[in-house]
Amino acid sequence: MLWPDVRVACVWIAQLPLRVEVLRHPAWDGRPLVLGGAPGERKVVQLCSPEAEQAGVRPGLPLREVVPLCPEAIVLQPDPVRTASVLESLLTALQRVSPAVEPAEAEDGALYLDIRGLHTVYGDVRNLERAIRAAVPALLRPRIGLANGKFAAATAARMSRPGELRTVPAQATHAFLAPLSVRLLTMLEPETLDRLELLGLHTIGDLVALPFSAVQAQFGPPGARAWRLAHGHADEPVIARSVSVAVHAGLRFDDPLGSVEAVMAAIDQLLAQTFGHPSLQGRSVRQVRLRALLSDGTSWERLYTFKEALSTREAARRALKSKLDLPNGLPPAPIDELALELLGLGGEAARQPGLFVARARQFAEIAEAARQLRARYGRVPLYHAIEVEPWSRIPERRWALVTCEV
Amino acid sequence: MNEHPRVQTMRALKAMQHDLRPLNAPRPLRMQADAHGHIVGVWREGRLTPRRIASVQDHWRIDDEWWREHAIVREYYELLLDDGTLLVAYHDLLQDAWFEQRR
Repeated sequence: MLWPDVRVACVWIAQLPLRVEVLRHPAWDGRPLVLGGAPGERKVVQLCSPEAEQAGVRPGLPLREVVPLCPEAIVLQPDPVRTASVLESLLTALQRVSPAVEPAEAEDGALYLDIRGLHTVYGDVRNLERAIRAAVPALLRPRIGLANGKFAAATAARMSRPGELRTVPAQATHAFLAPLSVRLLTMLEPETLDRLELLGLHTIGDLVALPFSAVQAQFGPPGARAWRLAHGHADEPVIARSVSVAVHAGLRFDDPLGSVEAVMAAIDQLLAQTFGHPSLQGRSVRQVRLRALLSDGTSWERLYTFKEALSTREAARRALKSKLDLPNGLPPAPIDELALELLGLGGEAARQPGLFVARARQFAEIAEAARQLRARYGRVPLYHAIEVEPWSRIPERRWALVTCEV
Repeated sequence: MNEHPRVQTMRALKAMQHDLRPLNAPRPLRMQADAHGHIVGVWREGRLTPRRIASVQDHWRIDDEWWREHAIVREYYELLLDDGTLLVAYHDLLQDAWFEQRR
């Protein structure tokens, strides 16, 4: 096999959150693993490994029923931070194989590589496969599919076994997809898939046999897209991740942090580090991502998008404090490690307050300060200067301070 | 009986006076003279040591409000002190007292 007519490679990692845990604990490979809900979520099985499935565990099963069914099952909590971190490192590694890599959603676990033109680099798809496998840890059990389009490549990857490369050349796409279940058309709503089966359309081939206009009329734009994909149309491009500048810093604590004050002190330090970074000179920040590894072994992640771009450390601190002060604003367990990332960097011009709005807001702030001073001292010790007799030859007659009535 | 508007205005202004604090009020100043009675130094309020007068940069006089009970007769001096400070001081000729005040 040299280089068949393929344009997209799909690297699919089944049950990515569980495989990430296996990567952390290689001894768990081959053991029944069950992913439960995060604290505060329903106590049901979100995901389970094939070994757990063999024991009768299924997604949606209440967690309390897992142990009677499978006593040796290892029940895990979602760890979005580690999963995102592994996906990020995969993306970086795969970008050395192909310059255009489309990142996957964490729950999907599929990454797409645009492999057009790579035959001049690798010569044979086997070499390409070796390069991909070298970039992805074997414990993640990556499955690789090559095809002319993203849907066919993803389907090929899903149909392959771990360690196997499934290639579907352009001319074979139709024949490859036709016998497969319409349930693979995940771009359609579950209700639409039910309707297809009610209509007796069980395979992709059944759908393809219908005229395009009829499918579009019945199922709208998603139906039209499904029909095109089922036909082997491969006009959906691989959308490479845009390179965005981010500034990040992290801290590790000997004593896990539990209180808002301690977390804010740590955030202060991280903000000082990040806002002092040379690449942030004269720029503003639109988003802040906080990631924490918790003392109970789980992780926590929040992405905060601010209403207006912030260009100072103090403004970012105030905005973050208001978020952390909200109910459930803090992680559910003390923090062992905390990382802060500034995203959505823009120019200073991105923050442009209105000329009169700012002045009105200033008066409102002064009025509030005066109210608090009156409550505290019984009077308002605020004054402003007024011209009294500016024409006077006697200096002390020209200006005076008058009590500020706000 | 209703007050005349002018009386009302004056009353309001008088009430306002309590809230008015003059800016640039004069502050007392001690002057040092030599054996001949010539002024050679100033001792400003709150300072630990006096300062010698290096030169007199400017001089003017104000005679005002002579029609009132408390007339104003002041001789102003702009003084350059030995530490480079410019100081505006005046001599109240009626009280025979010295004050500092910005222009």
